[in-house]
Amino acid sequence: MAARTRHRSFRILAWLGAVLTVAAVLALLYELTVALQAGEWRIVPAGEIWFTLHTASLNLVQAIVQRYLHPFLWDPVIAGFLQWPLWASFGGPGIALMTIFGSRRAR
Amino acid sequence: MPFKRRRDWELPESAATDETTYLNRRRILAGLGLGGAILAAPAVFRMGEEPEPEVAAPAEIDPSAGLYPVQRNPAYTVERALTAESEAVTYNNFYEFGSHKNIHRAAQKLPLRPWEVRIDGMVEKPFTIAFDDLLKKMPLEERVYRHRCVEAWAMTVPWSGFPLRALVDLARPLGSAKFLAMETFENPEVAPGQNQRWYPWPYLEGLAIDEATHDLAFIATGLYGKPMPKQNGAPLRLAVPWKYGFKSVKSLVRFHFTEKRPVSFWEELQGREYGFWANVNPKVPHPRWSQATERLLGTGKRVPTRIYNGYGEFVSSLYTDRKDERLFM
Repeated sequence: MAARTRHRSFRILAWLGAVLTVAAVLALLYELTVALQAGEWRIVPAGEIWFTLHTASLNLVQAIVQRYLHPFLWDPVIAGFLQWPLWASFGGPGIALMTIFGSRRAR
Repeated sequence: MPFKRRRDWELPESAATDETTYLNRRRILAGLGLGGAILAAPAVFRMGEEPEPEVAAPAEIDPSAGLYPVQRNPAYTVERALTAESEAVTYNNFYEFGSHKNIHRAAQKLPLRPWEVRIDGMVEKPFTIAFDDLLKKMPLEERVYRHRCVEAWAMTVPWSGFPLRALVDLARPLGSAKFLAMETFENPEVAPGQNQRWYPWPYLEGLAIDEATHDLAFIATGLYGKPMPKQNGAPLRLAVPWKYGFKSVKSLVRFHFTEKRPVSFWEELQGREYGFWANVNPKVPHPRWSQATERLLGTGKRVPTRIYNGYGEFVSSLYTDRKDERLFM
């Protein structure tokens, strides 16, 4: 029973890793598109992608976090994370989760 | 015989906490031995914050402090009681410093001198002027205005400053200039929100020339008879009381005359919610909340909001030929 539960947890984590990796690949494609359009490569922060996709939710989440949780949680914690390129933020943990839990699931 | 009954939400000016008492309250608590207990609890949640500076810079260290208070212009007053100063200087929006309501602490990092203002675009001769030199050229007065935030809270405060029209006259715009764009400072080292570089900094707002030269359009440089607190937009900010508060751009460094309508900061972010004209109208709700009433700061009371924030008889004529515009969003 415990082994089955553990196996299920590993599978969920491996799937989460896959989702993060796919998101990272999409983010990288977005960055490539931006680079091709601009004619030069530049790292696109996660915050810029969020801003481009849905400004209203970015603004709303900031207001909720800073007003009802704590200003510190937004800046520097979340705002700092948003400065990173999305492909790195998602890709690293995604590949790690797939590597660790995907192989264990296989055993 | 005319008889005016004071409504229960109307506070007399004497009810406002004076600044010295407000600023010293923490020291008084500490002296009573209560400070430790009171300050320790929130400390758990305050990690990473800078030590709390004074809420408002002491008036004597501001080079313009000697100019205030200035004479109140009796033509610009309202029936509503003044908001307590302690409320008006601690409940602020200033997006460069964040979305939270601790702006009065965060904004203290803003250096106010030297402070220069650039006037350019469609003017006879662009120029830059030091803020203190600008003050010497302007006719200072005090005006009591209502202020209505798009978040549905309101306050009534005595601004000190000068008519925006006086600055327009100084700028000598060309006849072809149709709009005036105004910009806030840009300094991510002191304003952490500007490190989120995906936003279109600097904060920019604009007025049509006939709005900018209207009697009510005001550049505020002081508040409650003292230099403007940093969190309220020091050293100079716009005050256009018939519009939602986000139009009254703070800590100005540039006035740019143009023939093309500028895209304002919030309009670029969420134009459906925060448009260019942004005139107050209780019948036009924000997409996520009603604008029918407003909460008066410091009282907890809600009162009906009025068209053009109660200034309709003075400004509605500005918009008779602009019926096709989204005037109230």
